[in-house]
Amino acid sequence: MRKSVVAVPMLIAAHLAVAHGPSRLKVTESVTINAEPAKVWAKVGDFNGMSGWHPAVADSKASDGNNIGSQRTLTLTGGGKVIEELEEFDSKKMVLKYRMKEGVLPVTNYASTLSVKAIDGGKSLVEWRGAFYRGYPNNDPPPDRNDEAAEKAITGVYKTGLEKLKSVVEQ
Amino acid sequence: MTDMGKLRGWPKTRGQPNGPFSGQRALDEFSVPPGISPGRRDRRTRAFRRRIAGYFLLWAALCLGSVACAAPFAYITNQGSNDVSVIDLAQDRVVATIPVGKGPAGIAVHLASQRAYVSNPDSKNISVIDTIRNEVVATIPAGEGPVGIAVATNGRDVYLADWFSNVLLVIDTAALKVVSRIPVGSAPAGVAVNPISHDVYVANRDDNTVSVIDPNTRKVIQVIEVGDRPFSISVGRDGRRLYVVNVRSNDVSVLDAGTRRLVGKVNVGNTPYCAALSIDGRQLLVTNQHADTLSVIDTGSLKILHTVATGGFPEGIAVHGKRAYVVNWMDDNVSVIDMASYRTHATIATGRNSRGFGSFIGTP
Repeated sequence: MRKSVVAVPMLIAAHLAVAHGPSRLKVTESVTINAEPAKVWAKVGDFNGMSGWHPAVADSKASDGNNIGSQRTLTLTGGGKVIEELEEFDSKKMVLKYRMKEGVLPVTNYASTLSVKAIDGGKSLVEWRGAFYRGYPNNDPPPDRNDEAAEKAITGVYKTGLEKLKSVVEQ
Repeated sequence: MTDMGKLRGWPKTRGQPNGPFSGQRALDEFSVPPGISPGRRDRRTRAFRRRIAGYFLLWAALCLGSVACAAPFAYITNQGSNDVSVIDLAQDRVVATIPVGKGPAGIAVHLASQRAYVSNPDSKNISVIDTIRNEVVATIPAGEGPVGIAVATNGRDVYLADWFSNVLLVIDTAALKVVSRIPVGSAPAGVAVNPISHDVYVANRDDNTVSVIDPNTRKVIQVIEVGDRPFSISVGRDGRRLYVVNVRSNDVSVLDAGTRRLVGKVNVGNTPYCAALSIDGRQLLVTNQHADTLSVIDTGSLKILHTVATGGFPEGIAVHGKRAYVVNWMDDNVSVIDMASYRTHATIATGRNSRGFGSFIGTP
């Protein structure tokens, strides 16, 4: 009974996600880590390893490791799941890209890029970039699914994740 | 932005304002004053010379904005900063920033009428820019979600896809209002006009089709099946083919404009968005949004010739001469790519969330 109550709005959301409005949003966050890029990439470059460094991710299960098309199901500490598919993986450039298939974040058409770059002094710069539309695809969105809510959610995911990543790698 | 002297590469003339009519002002200074005696030959000769100089300056003044002598400019819509960056392609720099409506996305430059039309989905209107003064001269309410925009070859009608209402709006540029609403497919996005047949094309994103509209009857005369989630359409100068970019199937559908049939398909990069043709029509350039690349396709063999790195989330693309201009949404800039070496010749910072969705330079 409870399942069907949840399933109906999710079906509606999935249907509406097809016809999003025309204004895409973006968020970029970065952090400097006092460690060699290879050491940072060992964490970031594991598509199935986010539960090891993101405070909001309790569990991760990936279907095909770091191969293109691999789908990971993230179980969040606050409840809910996010399913994401690996779109690009370049361990030489230390860049990976993925796209959200479905999930509890108040966004649609969400795609993300994580990269590690070497900077002066043997340090690393980790950059996390996201492109997405708000959760409500039509005009006049409710406050919890408008542009601000979408930007706030993604910014929160990136900031808390990068902060924890820095402490995990540097410890 | 009124510094047209600098803008058009027009030499500054002593004591003249740098406005768009500086040529006209010069003409006035040279024209023959009234009351001159017609009987004196030397004066007449001088007057004749002045008149010739005047005609030259009149020609030059008209030339300032005309098709034949138009200096190249790119009009880049910046969805995040609600403005348009005007790039002087001779200098590779932004020479004006024009505030427009909210969330500007679509753009259509019409050189002959000196107008650029901008779709503003968030304020549900279009901004009409005078490209000589680089100012908004009109704002026209238009639909619920205006996106793709194109101008009729003669400049009289503007075609605008309304994403939320599933119609193509026709705007009369003299009356400055919507004069027709043509029902098309679901989530219409990109619009293009055939420069030879004048047919109008709309990509119906959620129907996986392209609607062909007769510009005279303003009726849909054909619906053509294309790839998965068609978003934008590009038509060559010879009007023979149209190229439809399919965002989800990562390919381009090639249609014959005469038979209105699918004649080919080219696989490109991840999440392609827009396309443009080289001046000679031999190459098709496609931006791949999620791959941060440009696919260069031979239009004869429909094979990929090159894959060129761009900035983040490349969207709009236009070609001028031997250079391609790629609008990078994620990086807020435009990559200028040399089409001989495929190297990035320059990177020009724009406003926030630049899109340039449409014909942002215009076709002479």
